[in-house]
Amino acid sequence: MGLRTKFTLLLVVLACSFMAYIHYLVIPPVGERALGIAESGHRAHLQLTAEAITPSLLESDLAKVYELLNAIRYDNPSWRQVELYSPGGARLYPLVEHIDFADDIPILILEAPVGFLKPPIANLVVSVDMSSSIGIANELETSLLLALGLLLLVLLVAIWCEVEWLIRRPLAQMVLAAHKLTKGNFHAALPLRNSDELGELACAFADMRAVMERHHIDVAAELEQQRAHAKVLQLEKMRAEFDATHDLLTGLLNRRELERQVSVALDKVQADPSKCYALLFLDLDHFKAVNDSCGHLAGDQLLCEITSVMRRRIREQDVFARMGGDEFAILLPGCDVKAGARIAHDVCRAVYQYCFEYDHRVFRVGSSIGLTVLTADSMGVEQVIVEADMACYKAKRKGRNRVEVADHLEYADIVSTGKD
Amino acid sequence: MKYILTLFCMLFLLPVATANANERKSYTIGVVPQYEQRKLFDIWQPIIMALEQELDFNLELIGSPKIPVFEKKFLAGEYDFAYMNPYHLLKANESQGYIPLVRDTRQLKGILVVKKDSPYQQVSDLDKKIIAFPSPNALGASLLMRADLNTLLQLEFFPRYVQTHSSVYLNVALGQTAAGGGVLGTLKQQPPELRERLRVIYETRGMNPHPLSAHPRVPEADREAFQRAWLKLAATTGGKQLMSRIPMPQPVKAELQDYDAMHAWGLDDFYILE
Repeated sequence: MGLRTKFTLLLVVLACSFMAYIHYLVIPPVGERALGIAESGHRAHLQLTAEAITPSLLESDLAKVYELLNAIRYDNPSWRQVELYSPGGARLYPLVEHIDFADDIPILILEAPVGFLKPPIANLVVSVDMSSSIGIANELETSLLLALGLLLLVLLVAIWCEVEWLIRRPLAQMVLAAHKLTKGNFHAALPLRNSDELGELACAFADMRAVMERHHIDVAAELEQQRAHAKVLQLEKMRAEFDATHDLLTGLLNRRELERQVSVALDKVQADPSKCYALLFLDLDHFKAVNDSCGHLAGDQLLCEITSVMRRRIREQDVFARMGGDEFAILLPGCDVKAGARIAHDVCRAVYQYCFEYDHRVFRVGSSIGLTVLTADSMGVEQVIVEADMACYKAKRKGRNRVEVADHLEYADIVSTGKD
Repeated sequence: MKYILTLFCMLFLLPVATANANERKSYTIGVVPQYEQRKLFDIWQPIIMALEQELDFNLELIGSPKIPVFEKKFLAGEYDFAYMNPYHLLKANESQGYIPLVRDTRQLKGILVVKKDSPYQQVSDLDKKIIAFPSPNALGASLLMRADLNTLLQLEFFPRYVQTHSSVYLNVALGQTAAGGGVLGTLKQQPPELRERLRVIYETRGMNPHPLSAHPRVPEADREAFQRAWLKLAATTGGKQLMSRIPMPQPVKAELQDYDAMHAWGLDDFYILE
């Protein structure tokens, strides 16, 4: 139940209580008072009438008495019956018989002695029709009730409007502003023009909201800064990770990463002997001649370019690493000795066919490639690499630019050169 | 210069002289205050205006608040013409020599009324009872009635004077007095509910009614002119209506002898000075 409903109910209850109080406790005495005043008026008039007829009655001038009483009756229509009785009880006025009134007419009977001494010379009895006085009293009661009701209504409407405009609406506005504030709206309207406590509350609310907004802006800026910082850190981390696993010159994996990859592959092979991996160990031939004749920059350029040549000869999933200097290794998932040898030959041929031009000079380098495969029996990473390295060395010894398999592998066909 | 001044004086005096030449004689006329003054003037003023059309003198109506004042005035001869009751005429004639000119033909009688359902059947039943009268000197209702009751009927009673004829009838009808003295004319004017509660048990001796009389200082020619004018007016329909309000519906010439019989009634014994 809202404040408006509660207050309206309170006003209705107050109005009903007030009107009940007026209706039951205030109005009835007013009506009785009005009737009392009317009765007093009739009594006073009766007294005057009695005094007026006294001289005529003392002279037994009944005609004059009749004339006076007729005139008074004519002037007072509410005096339904005026009677004059002698002290002995004989009726002196009027001449005609007494009229009985209907039961529904409210009749007030008043009596006054005529004469200034006791016993009185006659008694004047008046039957007053009080219906007009009662009607006037009722009209007075109704008018009073209506006037008070109207006044109360105006008062209640004024109070209701006062409360509505001075309290409820500013409060509702502030509640709305608070709701909007929780949703991040810091600019909802507030009843700041009020000069009362609610206005002060609204000002305090506005101040609090301004503080919160500033704080919010600061936090957002801090958050943004932290985000940027985290992004930088992430990039640095990624770069560090890249640097930790890659060769800076060629962008290939470095020796450590290759060893890790081989270790993983070895684990897989050992877990599932049906899987096969081949490992090529490659050493460039005559690389030193380029380095010595053209400098390290030329050597570096050659390494980069030859890397691209070799990359084009292997698959995407193949793991290609620079082991250091002019040595490279390639781990070939899903390749047995035969497939590995074919790829090795392909690579060997490509390297040999590549011509490096630098400073108007042309160099042709070759590659000595040793091949081994990972088996469930392999003794470890180092062992596997050594096997490949040994096969490479064997190729070097056998005249370079050729492929050799590890000693424990019996595969005679694969021994060939890059010139084939 | 002297001639011019004389001429101017003559010019100024001329209208006065002319006015005096044109001015009519004026006589006063007094009327017995039977009714309140407004009603009295209402009745008499139209008659006077009609009479003046026929006369070569004016009439000025003089009112009196009460009968004793009226009596004093006519006894002092203040009125040139006067309308009064027959007993007053006798007194006025004795003191000032007033001469009756016109009167109505009807006889004036007093009546004695009792309550209709009362046990009183004849005057003797009212022995030592209270009898209401308008005032001591009201001629028919009181003066002549008391004279009759005392002199003719030897009745012993207690009078109560209740101011007016209507009060007499009301007092009787309401049982406040055993009987009351009135005249037929006023009884007929009472409302029916009052009249039907009353019963007449006695009528007084009859007499000629109120005359309109003149003071002897009024020249005989004017008196006669007045008499003629009155009778001429009474002959017209409008005049008859006016005079019936006095009341004098059938006026005739009046003579002092018309009222001679009253001298023997001894009314003076019952007249009470106020």
